[in-house]
Amino acid sequence: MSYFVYFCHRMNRFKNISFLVALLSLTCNAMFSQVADRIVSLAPSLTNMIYLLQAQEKLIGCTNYCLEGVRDKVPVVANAIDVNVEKVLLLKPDLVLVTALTKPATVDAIKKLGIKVAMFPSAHSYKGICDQFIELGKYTGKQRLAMEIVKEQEARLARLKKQIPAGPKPKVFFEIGAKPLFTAIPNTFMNDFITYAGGINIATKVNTGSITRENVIIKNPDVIVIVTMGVIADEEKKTWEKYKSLSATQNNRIFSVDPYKSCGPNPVTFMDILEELINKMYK
Amino acid sequence: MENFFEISDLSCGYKDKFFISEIDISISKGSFVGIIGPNGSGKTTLFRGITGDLKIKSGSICLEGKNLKQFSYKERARNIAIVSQDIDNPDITVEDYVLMGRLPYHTQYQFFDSANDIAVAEKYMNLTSITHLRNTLLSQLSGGERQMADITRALVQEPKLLLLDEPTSHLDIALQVQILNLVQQLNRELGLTVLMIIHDLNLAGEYCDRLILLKKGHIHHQGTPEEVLTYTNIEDVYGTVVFTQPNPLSGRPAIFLVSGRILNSIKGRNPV
Amino acid sequence: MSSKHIKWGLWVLSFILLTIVIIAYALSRGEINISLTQIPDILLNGKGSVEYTILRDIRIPRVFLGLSVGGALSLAGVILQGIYRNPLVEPYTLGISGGAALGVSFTIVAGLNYSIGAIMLPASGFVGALVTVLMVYFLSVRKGKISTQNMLLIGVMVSFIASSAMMFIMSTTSNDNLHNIVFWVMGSLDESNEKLIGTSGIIAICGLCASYLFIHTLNALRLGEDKARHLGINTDLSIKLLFVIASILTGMCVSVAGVIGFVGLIIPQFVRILVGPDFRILLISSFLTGGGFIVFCDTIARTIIAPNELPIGVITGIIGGISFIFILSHLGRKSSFV
Repeated sequence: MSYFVYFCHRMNRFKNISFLVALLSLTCNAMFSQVADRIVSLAPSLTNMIYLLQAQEKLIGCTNYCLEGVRDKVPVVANAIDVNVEKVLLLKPDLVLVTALTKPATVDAIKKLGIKVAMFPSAHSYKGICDQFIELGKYTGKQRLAMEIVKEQEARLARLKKQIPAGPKPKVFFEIGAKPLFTAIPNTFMNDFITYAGGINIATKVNTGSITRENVIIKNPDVIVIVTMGVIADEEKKTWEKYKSLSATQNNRIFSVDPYKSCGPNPVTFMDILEELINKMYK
Repeated sequence: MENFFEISDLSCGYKDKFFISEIDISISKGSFVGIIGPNGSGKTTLFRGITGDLKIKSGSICLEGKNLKQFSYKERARNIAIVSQDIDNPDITVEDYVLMGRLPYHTQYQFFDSANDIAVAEKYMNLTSITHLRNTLLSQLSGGERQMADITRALVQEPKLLLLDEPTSHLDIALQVQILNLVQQLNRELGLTVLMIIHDLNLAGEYCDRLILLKKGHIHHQGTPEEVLTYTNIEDVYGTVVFTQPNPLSGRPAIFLVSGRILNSIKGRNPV
Repeated sequence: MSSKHIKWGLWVLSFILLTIVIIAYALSRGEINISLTQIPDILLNGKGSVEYTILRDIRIPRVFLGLSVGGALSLAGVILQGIYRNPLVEPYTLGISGGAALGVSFTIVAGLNYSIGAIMLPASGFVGALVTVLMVYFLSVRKGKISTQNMLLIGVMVSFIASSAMMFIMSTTSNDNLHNIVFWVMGSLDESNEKLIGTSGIIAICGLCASYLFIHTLNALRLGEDKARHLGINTDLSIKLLFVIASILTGMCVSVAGVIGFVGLIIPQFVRILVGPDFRILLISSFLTGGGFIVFCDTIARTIIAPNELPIGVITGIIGGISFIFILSHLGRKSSFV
């Protein structure tokens, strides 16, 4: 900061006042969105993004579900339910990354300890995912890499879209939960899977995501995508195949996609899923 | 005397508390036996041991030579009918209640009462003159009517032995006599053997052929009413002074109680 | 005498007719309404159409499951109210639902339904129910004899313990698991495994037949345990066996459909007021009425806020609760139990 001030003194200070103000605000901005060097991530999706940004050396704490972090022996400060706030404090982080899934009480506790917290709410669209990715890029000082990756994936998206055959858009049912039956509703990033893949989401009037099987049968989707884990995915497929009136059954377009990648994606994994989706939908 | 109903060296009671023991009773067929004694002498305990409500610790009870333990539940109910005091006030008509006495005769898969069941119930309801009450609920009956219904139900079981627990305790004198007249009639005309717990000594003496007097869990004396209801026995067992004299109408022993006033004035005179 | 039997016959006929009407209602209502006259044609000729799929694969199994679960729960309620001679006893008082819910919570939290299959949910529910029942049973048996009073108290305590354990699990698990557990506990007839539905039906019918073998016990118990024994009933053995029947019925219902409250409590009371306290008519009447009631409530639950579905426990609770209060306050003629 002082370097700039000295520089301005040396320049014609009256002529460059506005330039100085702009520079000052930029510097202040730079101070607030300062690059963090010691980051604790409380969400596997965010840890995932950090590795994608090749910023893992800044990661000093993660959850026990962060696969890469655990593999690299990064200290574990949280499990699926609880965050060990004491442990977080002891690690002396500059920044703690949280999502909407983190308990608000935990977030407050960390803030009260004077530690900076960055909140990443659930993205509503692919664009939202990209924006969050770039924001994380800022925090890790990898903004440029982030923007490059996003650009790459945009190009990939364009290529993928070319693979979609012409014709009427298939109706798609995206099942993300079995008991109770749960689907992806508009205004979520999962809905973008459907629309980018050239399909129409049948769950338009549903507002919370819970839907009845009868409703699905009436809407008669051409494609059913199952995004649950484990054996249940196979069982669900068999169940849908029982309903002979379903277009998806008749055309044999009932399949599952990787649930882990689908639920907390970054720009790259989003496109991975999209590619898998397009391949299976239009084979 | 053939041993129709034989209780040998019976011992039963409540853990760590009250016990009756060394009970030997021999009842011949067709007799009318009364069990008497003060409160806490073991009448109810003995009754519950005989009915099977209380587990027997030692000794045996045999009906016509067969140990009761060898009877199945149903067999037992076909041979022994019990009229006891506990009424739960159930919502059941007199007719349905009386018909329940036929349960010991129903097979596993018999859901409805047979024509015979209905005939038997009808017969006994006529005998006890309660047919006019057939559609009344038990809870709506008076004490005396309830007792009659209960006895009718017991008769419908067509038992060989009738056990009664204080059948007259809450009834007025007219009803007491009415009930016991009925029991006596059943005993004499139907040949029903009756074993009854009763606390009213006069009624016991008037109606029973034999009496068993209990004191503190043991039999103090058993025999005819004349033999048992003496003032010495009663003073010994009940701890109270009484005056006994034969009932002028029946010849059976009658007990007159001695009030405090009389006792004091007697004490003042010379002993007789 | 036979006029009584004619009356009973008429009651059974009425209940069957009512159930048929409710079934017709249930099959025709839903996301799309299918008119009754079209149903036979669709079922015979319409294979492959949307209506056929909905009728054959969604509504008919659901109705069947509803009849089984409703019948079984009501039957269990009648049996238990007969054994305990207490109008407030229902299948869930004895901790059976608590144990089942606990078993299912374990499965969900351990992810067993994901690793082994969705069948783990009803399986663990049933195991949980059985474990609770056995616990209650063995804690109440003294020297081979069963004390019904003890059983009731112990059942209530076990129920509380199971609930607390479940709350502990719920408070320490992730949001997703929590959602699934709560949804399961709230009860639903949405089951796609037709073998499971068929098994429920078989268990319900077997339970009905088995309970009729104990009709003498149940009727005699109206007079009290002692008097029943004096009438030749082996009360100890019979009560144990009846308890087993009621537990199996309840365990089946809870593991397949979750916790659907009030049915086992209300239906026996309501039916008893209509047909009288004799168990010969009470068992079959409660069975039919319970089945119809559940199917009716389920139809409301899935149509009232379509396309969403209310948990059936909400409807049975509201309708059941209000009716119960209504019945209690207008009860003058007969007392309700025994």
